[in-house]
Amino acid sequence: MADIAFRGVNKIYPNGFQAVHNLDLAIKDGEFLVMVGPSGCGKSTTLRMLAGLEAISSGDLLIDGKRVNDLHPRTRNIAMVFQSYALYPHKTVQGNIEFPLRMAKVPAAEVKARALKVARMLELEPLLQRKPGLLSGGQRQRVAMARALVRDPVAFLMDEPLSNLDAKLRVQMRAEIAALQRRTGTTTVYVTHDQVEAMTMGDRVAVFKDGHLQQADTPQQLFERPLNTFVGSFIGSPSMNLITSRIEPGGDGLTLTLAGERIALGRGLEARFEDPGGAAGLVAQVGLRPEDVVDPHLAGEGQRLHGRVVLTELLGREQMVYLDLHDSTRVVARLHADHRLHAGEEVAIGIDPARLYLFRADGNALSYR
Amino acid sequence: MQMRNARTAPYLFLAPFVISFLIFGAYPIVRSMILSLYITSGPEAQHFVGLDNYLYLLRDPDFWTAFSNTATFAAGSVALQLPLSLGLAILLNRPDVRGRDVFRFIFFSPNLMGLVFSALLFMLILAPRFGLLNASLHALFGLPLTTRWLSTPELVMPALIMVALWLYTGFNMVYFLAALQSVDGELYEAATIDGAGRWSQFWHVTLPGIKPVLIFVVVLSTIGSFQLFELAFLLLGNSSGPDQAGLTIVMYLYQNGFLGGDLGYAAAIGWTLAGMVLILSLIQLRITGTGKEDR
Repeated sequence: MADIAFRGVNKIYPNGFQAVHNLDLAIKDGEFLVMVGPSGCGKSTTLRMLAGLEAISSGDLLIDGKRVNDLHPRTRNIAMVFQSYALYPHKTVQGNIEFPLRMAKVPAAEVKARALKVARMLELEPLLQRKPGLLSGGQRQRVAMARALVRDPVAFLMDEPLSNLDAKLRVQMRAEIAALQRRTGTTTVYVTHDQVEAMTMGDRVAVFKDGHLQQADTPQQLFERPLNTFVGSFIGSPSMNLITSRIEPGGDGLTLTLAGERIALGRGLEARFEDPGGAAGLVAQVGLRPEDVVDPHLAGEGQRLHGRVVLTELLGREQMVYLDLHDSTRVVARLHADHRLHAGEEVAIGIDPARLYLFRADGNALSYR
Repeated sequence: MQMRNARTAPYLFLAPFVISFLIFGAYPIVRSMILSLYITSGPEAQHFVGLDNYLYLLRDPDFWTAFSNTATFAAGSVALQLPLSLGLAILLNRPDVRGRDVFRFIFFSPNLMGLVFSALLFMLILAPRFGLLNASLHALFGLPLTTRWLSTPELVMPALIMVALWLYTGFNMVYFLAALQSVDGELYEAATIDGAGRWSQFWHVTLPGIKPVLIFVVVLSTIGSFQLFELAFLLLGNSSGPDQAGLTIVMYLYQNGFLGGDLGYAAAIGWTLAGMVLILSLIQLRITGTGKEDR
């Protein structure tokens, strides 16, 4: 059990490349924190610094208030699950699970008992005498988990542990890992590039880009209140549409000018943004999530956009509709599949002002309420 | 016509190998086996003796001298070469060693030289008074300059082992380097986090990871050592050294067959050596558990 804190942590490689910039991030005891971002964003480096596999160039890493920068990985008592699982191929499942305990010189009887307990918890008991080469991907994954769990570590680190599994197993293991973490209550730091994993598993999600932490928040907050366009478009699938536009005071409330069309926003933005009227002039981009596009018949007067359908994808009950607005801005909308649309059709889509995201020219969001 | 071409083509492609194998591989093997049942004097005169050559061999003190010399050489060179070449490989596999490639080349380079040249080189190195080895030992430990490495019975095998070490350590190092590079780096990271120190990592990750190559190298160097001939021949000549201290099995075969003219007895020695190497390799494979399913 441990609190973990990064204080102004930097990672600069000998060749001058800076992988992590001035990271400040606190992880509470028992929390499940997911670090997410595109490849090369610094999330794995951060995890490896926490494990002690990478040296910290500057700044402090604290575990339970104690600076551990210079502590050997062994003495940090942190367990890690690797992307490739890194199981010892010549040891049996039992040998793998027992290894950390043997290295810690735990008495033999206790080693057996603890390994067996963890193996039972993860339903590995029938496989104890097998070698990793004869296990399925999911079983190997569980052995890696068991090897991490058996030590009773202060924290679990997981580096893309599900990326080698097929889609169905991934969904299953996602739930199992989350449930296991809740059961053991061990602080867990989980790295992934998959925003669905991040959103479904984490108590909090830290979004990284180019070595900078963009935002660390609950999944709900990240989705509803992204601090910038990167977080806005990274979280959610398909990505948020970002449309260059202006907001100006209009007749009744504010008016959005978008692809040459004027949309009356009324007072819809006031529920979410601090001072939409005052800040209106600063808005350079409007974010519109595909699922927030509403049926034009349900949209209020003057809250419609017009365009031509380019492509549709049918997903059972829903369809993804890609359409070009009048100024050829491409917009994706997630619509009910009752009324199938086809390429070339001229259509209208409705906009709910209360669900728009507003960003300034520098990409940062307008202050939320 | 077309059809027939298609049928005969594969045989024609195979023919050069098959024919040369039959002439230069299969025939000599069979011929030598038959030959080992005869007493011969030169290529013409032969007299069938059945298994007498083999029975005589068992009671031949010179053969057992040769066997004991060869076994000493094999044990000594494998026991020294293996740890040394593995150690060098581990050292030169570290990314933080400067000039790795230069060192790899230097350690491998003895293999690029001809054996004759190497032997000449070592004649000079081992020479009394002016030789590099005596000079070094004198400078470092004050040992006498007059040590005659190649003409003192107790020193002949150590000298041969030393030359073999210089010749083959770098070569085995290359095998180990390749093996080390095939060990998954994440295993070391996992072991580090699991609390394993350097020695434990070597024992639990490196050694199991390179085991197949390790066994391969052990078996191959044992076989190679048992076939020791050229080196001893070049350094010691026909004489096989003082007190037969440098007499190896193949050297004994050569003396009987090509100096003494009894090709039958030489063939029997050859087949006995082959049998010994086979048994030794099987024992090594059995001890290390190679070939068993990894379950």
